[in-house]
Amino acid sequence: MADTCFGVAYEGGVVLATDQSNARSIMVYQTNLDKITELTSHSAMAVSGPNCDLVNFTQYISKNLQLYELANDGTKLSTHAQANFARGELAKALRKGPYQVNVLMAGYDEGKGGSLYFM
Amino acid sequence: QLLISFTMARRYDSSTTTFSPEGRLHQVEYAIEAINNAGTCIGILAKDGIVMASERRITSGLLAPAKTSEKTYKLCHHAACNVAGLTADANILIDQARLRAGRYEYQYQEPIPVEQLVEHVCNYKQSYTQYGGLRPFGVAFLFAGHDQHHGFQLYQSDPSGNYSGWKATVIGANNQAGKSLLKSDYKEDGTVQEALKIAVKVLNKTMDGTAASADKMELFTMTLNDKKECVHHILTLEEAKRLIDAVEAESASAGDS
Repeated sequence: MADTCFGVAYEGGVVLATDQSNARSIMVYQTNLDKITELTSHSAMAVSGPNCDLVNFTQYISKNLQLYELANDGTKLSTHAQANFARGELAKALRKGPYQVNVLMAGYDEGKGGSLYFM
Repeated sequence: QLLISFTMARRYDSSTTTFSPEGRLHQVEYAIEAINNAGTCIGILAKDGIVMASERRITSGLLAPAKTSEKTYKLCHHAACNVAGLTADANILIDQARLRAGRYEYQYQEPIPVEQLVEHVCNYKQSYTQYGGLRPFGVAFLFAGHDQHHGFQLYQSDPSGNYSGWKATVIGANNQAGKSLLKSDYKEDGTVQEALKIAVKVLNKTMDGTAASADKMELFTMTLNDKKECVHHILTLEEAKRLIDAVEAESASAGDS
């Protein structure tokens, strides 16, 4: 909660920056939480929100994207496809048990350069 | 040797979920046999597209002409397939393929890589050789598709659920004769036009006995237009006639019979 995430896309890629705090009111649980999760070799996700959803959602997306590459002989998903997969999962959970996360997903695609998605 | 294995087969061939003592699944093998009686389908990969040619078996002159095709089916914008075998079985699998392609695109907002589509259909076929005691699908497919990962691709699948990628192949009746002709005539990096002519030649051979005519063949091409979109095209009767005449002229001038 009360976290900050920045993302800047440019021709050669994307820069993501986040803070590292994990705290509730005066209880400071962590000052070294990495809120950027690596997804594939060329994409990552910066997330803000309650720690439970932050960790759960990022790992769920990350593991599924890794499974895709394993199951499909190394075929890579574009950043656009990864973002749509993630937003689909958020939408599915929305009317059941929503993930209270805000996401900045970033990736680099050959021929396209860097792209940044907010969801 | 053969006689013994056939008598043994009868004890182990009525259930798909049972191996024979020789380690064979007889029901699956029988399903593959069923396809060897079906109308021939030829697939040829060219550098600028794919050609699929099939034999149209017209069982009666009273038959009303089928929708657009009875051999070629569009699965999505960038993939199509040819069927050899039980058409009713094929319809179920084609539905599966179309659903899978659609759902993938809904989830990822991107076209499904061709191999994944093929693998999905094949996994579905495989489950009918292992669970439920249901018979396998009596269908073999030729899948033609294009994606950004591997360009134009041609795949063949059979009732066991196995699939493989090909540069050129034949399924259905007389496929061995067709394949041997392809081995000698297929040229890698040929054009779609050249591939069409080879396909007609091969069909002439596999359909030998019946006179080659445009209404007995279905010729399909998949190419890319200027906007890099897939174009699915089934040759009209006139186009097919022109092609068949051209092939006949070439073979006459070349001196073959």
